[in-house]
Amino acid sequence: MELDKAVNDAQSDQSPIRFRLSSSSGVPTYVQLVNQVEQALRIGYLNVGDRLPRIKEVVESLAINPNTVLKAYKELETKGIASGRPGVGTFIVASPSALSAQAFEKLRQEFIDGWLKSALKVGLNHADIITLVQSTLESLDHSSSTLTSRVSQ
Amino acid sequence: MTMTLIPTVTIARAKATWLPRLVPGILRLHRTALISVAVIYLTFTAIALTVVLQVGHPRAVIAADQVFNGTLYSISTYAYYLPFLVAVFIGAPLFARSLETGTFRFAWTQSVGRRRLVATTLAVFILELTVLSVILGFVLSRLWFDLSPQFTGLWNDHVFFTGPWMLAFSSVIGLLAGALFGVVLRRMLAALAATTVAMISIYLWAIMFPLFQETLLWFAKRMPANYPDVPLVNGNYLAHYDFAYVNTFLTDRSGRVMSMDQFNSQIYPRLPQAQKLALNQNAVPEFHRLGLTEWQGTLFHQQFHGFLMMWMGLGTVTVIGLVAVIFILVGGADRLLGRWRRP
Amino acid sequence: MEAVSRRFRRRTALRSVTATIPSGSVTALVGSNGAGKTTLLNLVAGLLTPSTGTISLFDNLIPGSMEALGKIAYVAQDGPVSTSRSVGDAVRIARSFNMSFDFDAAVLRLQRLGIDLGQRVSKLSGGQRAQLAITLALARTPELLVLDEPLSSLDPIARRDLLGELMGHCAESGMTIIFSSHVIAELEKIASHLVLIKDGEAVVAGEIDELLGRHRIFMGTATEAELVHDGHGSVISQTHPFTLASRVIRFEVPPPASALLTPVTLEDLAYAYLEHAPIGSGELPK
Repeated sequence: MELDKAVNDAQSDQSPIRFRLSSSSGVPTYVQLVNQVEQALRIGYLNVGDRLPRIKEVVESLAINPNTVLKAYKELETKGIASGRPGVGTFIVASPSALSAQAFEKLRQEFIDGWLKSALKVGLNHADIITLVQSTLESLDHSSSTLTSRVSQ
Repeated sequence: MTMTLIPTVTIARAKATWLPRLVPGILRLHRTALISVAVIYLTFTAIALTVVLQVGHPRAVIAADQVFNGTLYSISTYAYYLPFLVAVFIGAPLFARSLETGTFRFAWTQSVGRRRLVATTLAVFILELTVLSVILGFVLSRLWFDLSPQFTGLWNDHVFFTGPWMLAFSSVIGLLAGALFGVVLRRMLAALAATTVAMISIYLWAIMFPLFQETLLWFAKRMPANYPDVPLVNGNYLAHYDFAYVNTFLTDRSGRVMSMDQFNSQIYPRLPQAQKLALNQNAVPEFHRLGLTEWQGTLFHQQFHGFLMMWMGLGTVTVIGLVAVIFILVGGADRLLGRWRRP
Repeated sequence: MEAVSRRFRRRTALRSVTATIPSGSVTALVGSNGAGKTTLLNLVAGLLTPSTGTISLFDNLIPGSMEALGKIAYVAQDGPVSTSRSVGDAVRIARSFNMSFDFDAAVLRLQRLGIDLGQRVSKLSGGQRAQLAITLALARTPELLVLDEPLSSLDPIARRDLLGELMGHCAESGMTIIFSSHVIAELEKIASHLVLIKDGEAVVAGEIDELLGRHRIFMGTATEAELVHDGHGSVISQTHPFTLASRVIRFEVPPPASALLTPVTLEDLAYAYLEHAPIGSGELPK
């Protein structure tokens, strides 16, 4: 995943972030968009108060369904990162909670001791592990998204 | 499947807003055909006009063969074949082209709607053909009339069918017949061939005098017989007869009936000498066959544009009929699209 | 709001299709050649009349009626647009055929694509002809855009540009799009709804997110697969019943979270239904 800083982000109506898609990563499109926004915020490309690109711009450059972008922006709203102002745009209102290097290391150790060692002992190879992790994540995404769409109706 | 035949008044009103927009597009789309028609008809008109000026008016005394052997005169007589040309080269491809190439799928899904499109296209061509035919027909009628004292030959059909209204009807009916074949067959070549065959048949029927005459008489026989005390009117006359009754009567161009006595005493004496002469042509045996005496029979001659009334009626019915059939086939009939759609 | 629902048969071309397509959606119509996609699109456009059943568009408009024609633009597959000689003629004629027609936008789009107004229509390449047809359709600012295999004659860059442009229109005006395709790969990103046609019948019709949520891939024999859904679903992939194979299962209830079930892609789904599914398994329960 890469981020593009717009050449003329001095223009007030141009959003600083340009989205890119990785089509074969297996990650749902709207999740990729959400991740890119969060990543940009962490790195500092995006700041609180910046406007996210208009849906029309995004779909034109990425050739994706507008609903996907809507979904991503809604997800960001749910997470409290962005907020939509009708007629004006969607703006960043907060940064995602930064994960400190310490907390990240702690999670990693938990992962290795708590699961990975036993999985390897049972006989799962690297590819199996990666497939398992990916499909579980996707499964969670699908079931949660159908859940939310049902709830919102 | 719903079918609507002739456009109603409401559609006519809606057309008023569409016409200024739609007509230029149709003119552009059929530019070549419309220009070709104009060029041909106007060329014939110019040639005929030249011959008329040659002959001079009122009729100058010139030798008949001077005119008859003239190239321009010969060419003018070919105007008789214009309806054939129109039918085969303008009418047949009119709809067949877009049906064959598949462009009708574009045209019929536009906002204008297929019926308005077809109606306006036909209207544009019919208008052009009518105007040009009437003009050409007037010039040709002038020509025939001016030359009539010298005529002895078989030019009946040319005279009759190149009168203004006859030429207009023939051209329009030719166009519609070709267009109809195009809609039915959906292939240009097939439509061209079918229209050619049809038009040749029609011309043969017109040329073959007995056949032609019988058709006219079929209608004449069915006219009513007894109409006393009708005012006298100048103009063309139509002889009617009835085998069951002794009475014979005449009607003028508008269908008003007068008695033979009236005609004999008041109209016939006033006819120009030339016309009377021209009356004494090949029709005599035929009229004898019909039981008419000579002076009655001679009024049967086409130079009086006799039967014009009937022909106009027949022509109008034919035009309406052809347009109706075209609309039936065009509007919502999906069998039109199903069979030939696969490449 | 606006919905399309239809059930009809038309001789042997289309046996029975029932679907509801909400406005603003992008529906992909997928099926093998000859399955009935073009027939279905022709029915929506009003070029054909259904033999049985009805199509209802927007507020109960009949396809082919004057109001429907004004709102729907149809682009045939690589079809020539006009018998006119030049591209400029074709655009002007199209303008005369419609009350609302953005002439300048059409000219601009053609310029952007490198199509000159003076060019002869007969000399255009397949892709250029397709772009011309699309240009004329978009210039009408339709509420429903019906495209028959719009991408087949376009190169990959042109494809992506067109899809992006269409998505932009959707975002801006809420245009509904129905397009047919026999290539499934690009659909997942742009389509919100899917109709799968097999042998003249709609084996699948519904919202893609829902479809993906209700189907799972299971690795095992057919019998094992039957056990997995436990009566609340059906196994779509029927081949090689006794061998270990990747099978697509359709669930009537939300699928259980299980290590044995992995998510499907749109391609998996389409192939499963088009290759193996028995007729009538496609309608999702509401």
